[in-house]
Amino acid sequence: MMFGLAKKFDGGLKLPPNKHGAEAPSRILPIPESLTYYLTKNIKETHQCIVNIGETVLFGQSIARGLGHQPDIHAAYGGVIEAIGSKAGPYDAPEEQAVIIRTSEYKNVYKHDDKIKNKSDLLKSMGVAGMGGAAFPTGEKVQAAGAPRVWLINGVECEPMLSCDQCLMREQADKLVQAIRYLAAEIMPGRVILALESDKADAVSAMRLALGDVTDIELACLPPRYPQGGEKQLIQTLLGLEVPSGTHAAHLGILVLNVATVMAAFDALAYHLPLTHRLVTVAGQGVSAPGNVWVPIGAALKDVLDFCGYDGAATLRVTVGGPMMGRAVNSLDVAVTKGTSAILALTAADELAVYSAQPCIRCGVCTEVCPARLQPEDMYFNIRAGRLNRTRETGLMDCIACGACAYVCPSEIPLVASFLYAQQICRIEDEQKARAAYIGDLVKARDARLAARRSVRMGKSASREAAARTVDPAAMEKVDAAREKARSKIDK
Amino acid sequence: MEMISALIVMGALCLSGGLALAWAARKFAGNENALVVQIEELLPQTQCAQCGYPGCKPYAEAIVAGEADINQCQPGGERVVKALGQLLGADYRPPAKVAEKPMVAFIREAECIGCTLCIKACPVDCIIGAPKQMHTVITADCTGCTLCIPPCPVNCIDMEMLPPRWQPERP
Amino acid sequence: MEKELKPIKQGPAVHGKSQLQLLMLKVVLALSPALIWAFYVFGWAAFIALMLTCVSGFVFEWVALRLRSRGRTRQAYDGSGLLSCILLAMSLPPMGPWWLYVLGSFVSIVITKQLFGGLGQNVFNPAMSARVFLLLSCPAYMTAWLDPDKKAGLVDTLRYMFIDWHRESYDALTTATTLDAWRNAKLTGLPLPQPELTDMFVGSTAGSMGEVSAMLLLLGGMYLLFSGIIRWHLPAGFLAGVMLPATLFWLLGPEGTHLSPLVYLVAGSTMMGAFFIVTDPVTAPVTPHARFVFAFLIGALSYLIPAYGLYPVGLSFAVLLMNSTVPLLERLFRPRIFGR
Ligand code: SF4
Ligand code: SF4
Ligand code: SF4
Ligand code: SF4
Ligand code: SF4
Repeated sequence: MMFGLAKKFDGGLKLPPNKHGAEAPSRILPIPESLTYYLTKNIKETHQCIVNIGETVLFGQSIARGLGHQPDIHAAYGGVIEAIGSKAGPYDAPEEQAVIIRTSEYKNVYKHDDKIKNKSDLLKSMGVAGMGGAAFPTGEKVQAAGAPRVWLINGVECEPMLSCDQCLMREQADKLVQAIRYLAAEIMPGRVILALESDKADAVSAMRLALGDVTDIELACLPPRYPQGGEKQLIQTLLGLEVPSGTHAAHLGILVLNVATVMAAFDALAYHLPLTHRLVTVAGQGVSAPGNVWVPIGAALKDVLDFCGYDGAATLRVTVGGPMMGRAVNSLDVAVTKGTSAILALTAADELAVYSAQPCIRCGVCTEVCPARLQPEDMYFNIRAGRLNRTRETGLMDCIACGACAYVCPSEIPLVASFLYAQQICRIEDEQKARAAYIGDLVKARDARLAARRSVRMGKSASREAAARTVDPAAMEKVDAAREKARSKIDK
Repeated sequence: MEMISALIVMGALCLSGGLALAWAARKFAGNENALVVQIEELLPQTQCAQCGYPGCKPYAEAIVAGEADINQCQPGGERVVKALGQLLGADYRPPAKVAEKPMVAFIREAECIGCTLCIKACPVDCIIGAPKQMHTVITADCTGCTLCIPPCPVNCIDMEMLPPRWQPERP
Repeated sequence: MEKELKPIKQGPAVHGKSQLQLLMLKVVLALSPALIWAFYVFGWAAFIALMLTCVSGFVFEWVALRLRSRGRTRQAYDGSGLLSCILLAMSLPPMGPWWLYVLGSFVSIVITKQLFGGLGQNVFNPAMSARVFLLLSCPAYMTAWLDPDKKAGLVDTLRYMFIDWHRESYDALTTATTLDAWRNAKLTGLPLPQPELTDMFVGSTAGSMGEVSAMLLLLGGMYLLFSGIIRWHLPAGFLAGVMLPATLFWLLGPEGTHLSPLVYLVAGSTMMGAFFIVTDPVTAPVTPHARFVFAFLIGALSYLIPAYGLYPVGLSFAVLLMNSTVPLLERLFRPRIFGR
């Protein structure tokens, strides 16, 4: 079906596709010896472990429950829980808490009860998260969108080198169409649009063939441009709408799911299959056999890279995720997560960024390519000067960290790294402020309670309350002793 | 003659400018109560009295009254000193005492005799218990202010360190 | 991976091909046809003037950076100083006393650039501020334009530039530029000369090195535009800024009191301004709208200043004036942030 473009998104740039191994058929990683599942993200607890060391788990068994909306974690192969402890992680903090499974011969499949009927709860308990990179909980997303006006299926994959969605659409086009129809019946969107970029000819023709004369799924072939696959940019391109600052697509009644997520959600809802494996692109000049590999979530990067002919001597940088938005890792023990779309072994031939941070010449190219219409050079300047509030006013939190600005900057300034840093600091500040406000409320509640009681007792206890709140030196000594004790405990 | 008229004109200009400034200074003078609220919003609300005042609000009032320096809040640390400095136009100075790592109170429940004295001391009401029953701390709400320790007759309250909050590195 | 990983964690792992040094060299490359033509037209004088400016500029920059801190001297090689010096040399008379060029590069590199914090920090255009400085402090030398027909040999040129550099000895060799001649005639009431458009466009009239050939400058400008080094906003804004008042005054003013706008279009100084002066990124605004307005106002001022002001050249004053408004323009024309 033909599709008229509403509007091109702002900024952006053309990047060399470099999709090596995109045409090769997908392969399956042999069962790795151990699997690692993270319970924290940047040391903050996201999952609660529900198994013990030495316990035997079956294929697909839930091993950690997600806190809040976080989807649960399931074992990708049967085995024994070997350890629960610190492990090199793919996030900003160097180490995360993780559960480590030693895989063994157990072939038994864990049977999930099918009592859960609510689809967003089912998605959470089957561990479905966004597979485009950010791993946003799908259950929460579906719930927030309700019955969306428009359901966008994102197969754009605009990052260079990545081809896992392309491969998935080419090899499983029929299943994807089936999945879309099944989910459409569940979530009842007003309109369904499948978006992809026109340079992936094999995926486009496979999808055309699979769709046949289906008319209720619109196919949008977009001219390639980075970062078209960003949720906000895709909505702007297809529908001409801007997602208001500080909100999500659900605010406009739009649901955006990546193609791999759609498949996982289909498996979860229709067959009660948890998300345990995903297609990962392995590419870069540092591997001799680039391509797409079915990898159990939890496998170490080392295992996947070795499977594809990894050349450790030539590789200078390994990233998890695409070259633009992925992050470089310091260790190959890092494990594949639900959001790991690619593992790249980059060598000197891959035009590595070095971020020598020469003076900004105000050339304005960064402003030109920024899809969020920000002024990166101005934000960078303010961050360097420590003016975080000013930076916030000028859009720090609206930066989607697409990396376009840092990619084009002739002075090789680490723009994105400083924006991410400043965003983190701002988030921590917000958290502290929110907590202070919360504690303030607790204090007020207590004061109200005391006042109420005092009015009942007619002031009898007022002097006692006051006595309890004043600080006398003898008491402070006791406090100091307790602090001392606590500190010595930590030192040990 | 010309010089005199110039003097008169300039003098009149200066005088009227000065009067305008004086009027503006009165008219737009800061409201002290509003300032107390603004300062209080910046304080961490731990109510721990480590600043030497029995809570954040008294400390805020003391700052406005000119009795206290801006660097006395311990849990607030550097961040609060900076924010206060910005609000009040004061220079930065290091916090008077270095803030401790975040802590929470923990009651050794087996030893608690249920005297409820700690509940009365806790400024945020985060200890639950009833007379003669064992007491416990709601860890999520505890601010680590240590005010519950002195009243406990059997000394069964410990302070425990929380795992450190991860901080991003400056690129 | 056994080797040390480059220490980045966040931000793109790869980088585009754009690099500071390369960028500067490409601009120099774009200037080179006009430069070479200037060497041909003005002979040795032009070459020596350029060398004097560039070499002294490099030395000043290196020393200034070294005085600031030891590790900074490598910044002297980034090409930005070279570009400023070339632009300065191209806006000075091709023949003048040697100290004119050395003083110019000192003002441009040390005062305007390094004292403000080095590359990227300067508020004013280095080449233009030096030119204004020289114009105000030694106007006699700054209005003595070598007549292309009287260019001298190497020895004579050296003598004129290093030993016998008195204004009187230049009189025989110099003449006025086309625009100046017309302006002087108008001011003194003499019969108005008819500008030779083709000569001006191709470049065989008197003027600074950067004014001599509009055609070659246009060529270089096109190269910059099509290789994506500059965007259309600045040159287009400048040209519009010059042409709009020029056309209006020509159409509406009394017969014969204003030059045809065509003359401005084929003048080398217009092309130089449009493609190489207003496009200095450091001292121009960053956002597209602000850039257009900035360049438009420079263009309009650089037409109005010589037409109604005291000085025969307007471009450098206009640039400095507008440089000081950049923060204001940026604030006024800040793009609306996505989703706000
Ligand atoms: S691209 Fe780099 S050099 Fe150019 S304005 Fe942006 S930060 Fe400055
Ligand atoms: S990383 Fe942020 S500032 Fe840079 S181009 Fe992308 S959205 Fe704009
Ligand atoms: S030290 Fe800080 S947190 Fe504690 S009472 Fe004083 S102002 Fe409040
Ligand atoms: S439990 Fe103790 S340490 Fe925690 S807030 Fe209450 S009084 Fe302070
Ligand atoms: S003060 Fe001590 S003994 Fe009394 S209730 Fe509290 S913890 Fe228990």
